[in-house]
Amino acid sequence: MNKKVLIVVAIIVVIAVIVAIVVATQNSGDKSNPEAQNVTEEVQDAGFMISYLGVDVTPGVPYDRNTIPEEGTYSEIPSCAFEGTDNVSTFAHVEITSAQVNGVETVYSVYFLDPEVKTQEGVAISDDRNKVIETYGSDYEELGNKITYTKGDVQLSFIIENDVVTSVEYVLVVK
Amino acid sequence: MKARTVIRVILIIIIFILLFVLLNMLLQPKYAETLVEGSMISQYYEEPKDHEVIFIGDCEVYANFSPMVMYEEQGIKAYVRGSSQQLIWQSYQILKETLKYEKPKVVVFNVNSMRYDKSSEKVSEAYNRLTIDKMKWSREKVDIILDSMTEDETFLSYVFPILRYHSRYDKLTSEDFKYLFKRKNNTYNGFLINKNIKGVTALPTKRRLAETKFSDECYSYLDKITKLCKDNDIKLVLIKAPSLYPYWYDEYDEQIRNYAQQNGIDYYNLKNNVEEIGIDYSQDTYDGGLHLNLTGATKLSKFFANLLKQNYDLTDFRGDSVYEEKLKDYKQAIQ
Amino acid sequence: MIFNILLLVISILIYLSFGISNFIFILFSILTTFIAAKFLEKKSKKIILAVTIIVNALILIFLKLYGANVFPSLEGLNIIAPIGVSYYTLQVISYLVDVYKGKYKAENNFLYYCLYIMYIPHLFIGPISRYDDMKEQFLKPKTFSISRIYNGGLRIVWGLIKKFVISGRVAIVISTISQDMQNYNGAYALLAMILYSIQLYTDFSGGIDIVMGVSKILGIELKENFDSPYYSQTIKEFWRRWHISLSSWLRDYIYIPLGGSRCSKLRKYFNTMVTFIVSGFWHGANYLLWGVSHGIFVLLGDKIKTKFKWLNRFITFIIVSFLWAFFIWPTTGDSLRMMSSVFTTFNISDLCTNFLNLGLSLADWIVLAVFTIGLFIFDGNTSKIIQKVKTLSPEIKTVIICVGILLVFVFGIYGIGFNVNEFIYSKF
Repeated sequence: MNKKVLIVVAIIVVIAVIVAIVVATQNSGDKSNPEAQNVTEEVQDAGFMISYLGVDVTPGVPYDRNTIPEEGTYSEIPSCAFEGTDNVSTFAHVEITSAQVNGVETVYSVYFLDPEVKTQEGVAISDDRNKVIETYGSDYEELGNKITYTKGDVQLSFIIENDVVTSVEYVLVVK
Repeated sequence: MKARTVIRVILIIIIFILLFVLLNMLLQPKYAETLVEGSMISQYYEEPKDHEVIFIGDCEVYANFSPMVMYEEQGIKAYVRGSSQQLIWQSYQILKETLKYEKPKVVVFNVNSMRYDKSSEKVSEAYNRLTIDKMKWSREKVDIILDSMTEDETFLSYVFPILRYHSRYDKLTSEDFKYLFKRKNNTYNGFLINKNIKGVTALPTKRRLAETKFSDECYSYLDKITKLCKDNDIKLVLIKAPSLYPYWYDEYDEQIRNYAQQNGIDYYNLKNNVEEIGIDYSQDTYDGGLHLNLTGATKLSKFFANLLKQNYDLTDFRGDSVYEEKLKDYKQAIQ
Repeated sequence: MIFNILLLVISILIYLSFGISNFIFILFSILTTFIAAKFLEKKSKKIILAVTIIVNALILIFLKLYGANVFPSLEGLNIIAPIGVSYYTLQVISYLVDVYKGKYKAENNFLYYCLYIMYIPHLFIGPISRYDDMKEQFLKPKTFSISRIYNGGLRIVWGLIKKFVISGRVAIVISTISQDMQNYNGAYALLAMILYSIQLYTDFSGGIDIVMGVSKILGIELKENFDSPYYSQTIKEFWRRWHISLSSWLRDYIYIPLGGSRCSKLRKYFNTMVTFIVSGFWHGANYLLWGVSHGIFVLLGDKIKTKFKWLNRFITFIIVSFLWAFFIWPTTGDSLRMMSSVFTTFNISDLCTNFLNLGLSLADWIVLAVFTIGLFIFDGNTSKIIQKVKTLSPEIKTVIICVGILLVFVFGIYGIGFNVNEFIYSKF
């Protein structure tokens, strides 16, 4: 009688072992090429990126306005009651809002001021709606005349008036 | 179990319930010396309730309008029931609560909050707490909580603050013990004095709006405020306090003007009177153009007191013993 | 009888509240095994036994694989594993095998069988009970007893403290460390592994304490699932004291049927490894390597045991902690990399300076340390302490329970918390 139970259990074990091999080979495949895996992961996780005058100002990265090779004006917008400010630096073509996160000044948003700057994918103020859709696809959220794409921790939104892009902004998604 | 044991066990349980209540009180922020904005709403309960003018709205009321100046100027008894980032559904409930205590002649609502609906990023748990935590329990408090709660919040955490604030156990300061059973009044009839000067240097760019129309949600609360005032025979006055930022767009202004016209309400965009009032944005603001400081608020309050006196039938209370006393305290505080 | 019906109805209602699809899965398992057992009783038909077990086991195996994303093509189906499937599947299998072997007769009363599977306290996290034990508990006449309620209450409070005060606190550090493999490796990884030992134990055994406490109040005695596991001197002993209901299930329904240890040495090794592979798989398709590693250490057994009791305990604890790595980081590859980083990256000084940036304040660390030491002392003297508590007066027991509840309220990790960032600035 015991033998028969053994057969049953053995079948299950065999299935489990086959599965083990399947999963193990999958894992070992990953292991043999950790670099490749990392790269694909990063590409998937990375959000939109934006730089200004060669400086990475993607929302979420640490920020020091002195690293931007251009004079700008600077204002601090406090929040009422709580400590902390929105620090807004206005440059010739973009306006960067930053704030302290865990003690590190961090980019919160990047707002385009004129058609002289383009998104990394090549869209600028005064482009038409089609160009936005062609470049970023149709997976967006629409609110009023604003369409928003989310990738990683960054939202990229365009305000489109009469089929023309009138505003471009990158914003950090705060969890 | 013996009867005596049962009694003792019940006694022990009662003691622990009391201890639990005490812990709730201890762990809750006191808003006495820090984050004083959290104490404004509750100071009202101790005041004599014979105001003829009640202000409701966000920081643009409690920083900009000083009732004591208005008393000195025109003998007006006014109270500011403002709070930080007070959203319109909160203003509505606070007005409702106020009307349970008294019936003013005029209610002044600052319309800045019309731009934020419930999906706005300005809706935050932290600000909800400042407005709601110290409210007395009432139907309005229940409603304000239900209306304001963000997704992560629970109603129960307003009933038992320990559920929210228990992790303050290692952040307790002497303030928490000093004000365990008492409170500290930080405002003068709801006005928070700020003497700092930080003039306007630069302002962010005026951005394009994705949506220029106020949401239906906000309109529905404005309707409710309007109706509440009408039903109680109160004059509703809409204002936009003077500020340089956040921008009050022309589209906003137009909508409020239309609304006021349709509903027979007065609307004053005080941004248009800055020169007349004499506001100097290099001197009269404490945060670079968002709110007025003491000198700015004094100028504005004088101007607005005269405006109210001219247009509405308000009593001149000058000489009132209680208010003379209050005025003395205020004068001392602004020294 | 009325009590049992009530228990079943409540269990079903609670289970249903998690979704109807859950219920279909569990009902399928209950019905197939209940009916199959009736046939088995009349004649030992191995085919029926085999088919029923395989069908039920396959459901579990499929769900485990699906959970490990082995079938990318089926992603769109959105199958959610029914709650407790890992536990009740083992229970139905043990029932079938026991009936087949003639350990007891097949149950005639569907209600009792249903209750055995669906008894809500043990459905979520075990312990994995056996039918004969549970039936005895259900049939036992229930009388109202104050001291039982007190003892159950004490146990629940102890479980809550473990889960909310200790486990919840440790979880914060572990999630900080595990989310950033770039910066948090080496000494951080080692810290995470050791802390994970504490987290998993307090979370799991705390949950079991609550199950046991609730059951005790209901007048149902369940078998203990933990026996101070971190006091074990070898990995083999560890498995006699950790998740006992699973280990004994594996022993009775995998290891012994395979031949156990009463056969050739090679065969015994094979049996052990198979048992641990199944164990790894039961935890999830990603944990096979974890199972294999434990199997190897079990086989090594006494060979790595020293003469010193405390050294053995320390070594066992470190091995167990090290192997938990597979549960901390998302993939097996990541876990292996983090394990090796312990030997290649020496950043202990970095850890010391960064100690308070891992999500806990100094006070939190102190609270954690105090309670963990308390747990350690309790585990070392469990039976003595329990004996002592039993003799206490109701007044003292009330005080202990009330203090425990207040401790959970104040020191527990739950709710939004007073997040500093949130309060400094609303946007972040």
